[in-house]
Amino acid sequence: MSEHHVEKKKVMRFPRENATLAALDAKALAGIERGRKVNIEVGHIFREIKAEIRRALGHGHWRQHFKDTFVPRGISLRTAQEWMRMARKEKNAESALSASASDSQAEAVRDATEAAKAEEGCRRRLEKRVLDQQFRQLTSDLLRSASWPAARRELIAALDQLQTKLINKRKEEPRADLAA
Amino acid sequence: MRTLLLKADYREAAAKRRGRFPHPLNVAHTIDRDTEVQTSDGRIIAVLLCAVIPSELGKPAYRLWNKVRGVPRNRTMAMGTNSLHTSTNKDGVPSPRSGVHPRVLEVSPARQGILGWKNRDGEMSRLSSEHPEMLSDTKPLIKLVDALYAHHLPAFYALQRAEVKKAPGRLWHTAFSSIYIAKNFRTAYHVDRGNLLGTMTAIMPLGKFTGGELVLPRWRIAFAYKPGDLLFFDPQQLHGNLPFKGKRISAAFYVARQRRGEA
Repeated sequence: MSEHHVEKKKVMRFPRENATLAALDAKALAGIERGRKVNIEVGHIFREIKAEIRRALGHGHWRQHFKDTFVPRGISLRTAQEWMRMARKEKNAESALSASASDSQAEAVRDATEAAKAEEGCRRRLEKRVLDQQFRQLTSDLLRSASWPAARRELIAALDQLQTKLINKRKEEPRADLAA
Repeated sequence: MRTLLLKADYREAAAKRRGRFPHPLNVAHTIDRDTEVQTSDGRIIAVLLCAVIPSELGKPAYRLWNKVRGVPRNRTMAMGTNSLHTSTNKDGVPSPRSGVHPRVLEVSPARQGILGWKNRDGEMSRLSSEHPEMLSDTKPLIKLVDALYAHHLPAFYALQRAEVKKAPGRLWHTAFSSIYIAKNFRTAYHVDRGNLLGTMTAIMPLGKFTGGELVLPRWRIAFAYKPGDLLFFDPQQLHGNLPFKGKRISAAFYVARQRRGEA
């Protein structure tokens, strides 16, 4: 056997993805994300509590209230302040997201859309007015005509028939409360 | 290339912004160099590559694609307007056809066109039939975009290529079936419904302009891309553009999702 240590030649392998490791990583990341969301939610609640204390007792009572209520449960003031900071940041971001564009193109499209909507509304109102007028005219023509007594009888008969139909239908339908 | 890990997710607040124009205040972070953007669960949602398209490919493409004249009457959300009846018949009754109202089209300089395959039934777009040079003369550019996609996003590329192979039409041997050309189109927040789910869109701006950053409101980020840059991003994410000055064409390379009769 040789005195010299012969170093084994390293075999370079293509790195294979470890499926178990990837799944565990994904699980941990999902958990972290869930935790972050809960922290922000609690941060919002702390902000509300602080505001409520200020309203009820005045300035300077929040820390004492926190020390009495939450510190014994293992939550430090620093942690709470961090959660409140995250909540404030989220609130600011949401209000920033709701900012509306006011550049010339956005304004032009907005104005044109409003004008088009108004035009369409006008058209619909006009259409309704025309139909209403036609209906009123036809009704008054019928009332004045010689055939009105016969038409009246027919109308009453048709309404009676409709009423009977509706009553029968209601009787046939099983009542939901009784069925339950 | 650096990796940007997104922590804050404003999904609900962003969803309310559909059809509204982006405002600079919507953005907390602007990306202007080579970056891979990942969500907190490790999902890649965008990759920005800067100065990867040489001007000798970009400039001829701009000249050719500048001919698009289509009016975006079918893109109500991206136009930042509502779907309204577009005309009335001679009796004054609104036509059943609705879309972007002519009044809105009048005030917008936006024009559009589709190159390649209109859908996955093998139907070629009218623009490609009328101007075949718009595709044939830009073949090297399309091939380069495809190669960059394969290099930087191999997993997405493999999926997209497998899918595009099933379709009757694709742009040569690339992973794309179509190119959407948007000229001077400042879009409001929208999602691209015509794209195959789970694939990326490669978007490339051309022309001479300032502004026009692409904003993803859900993450409060914007991509400040310029001619020569290429952005791969998930088109199912709500996105829109900030205002721009100058002449701008943006070309989006994608795989058409829709077959005839599909929703």
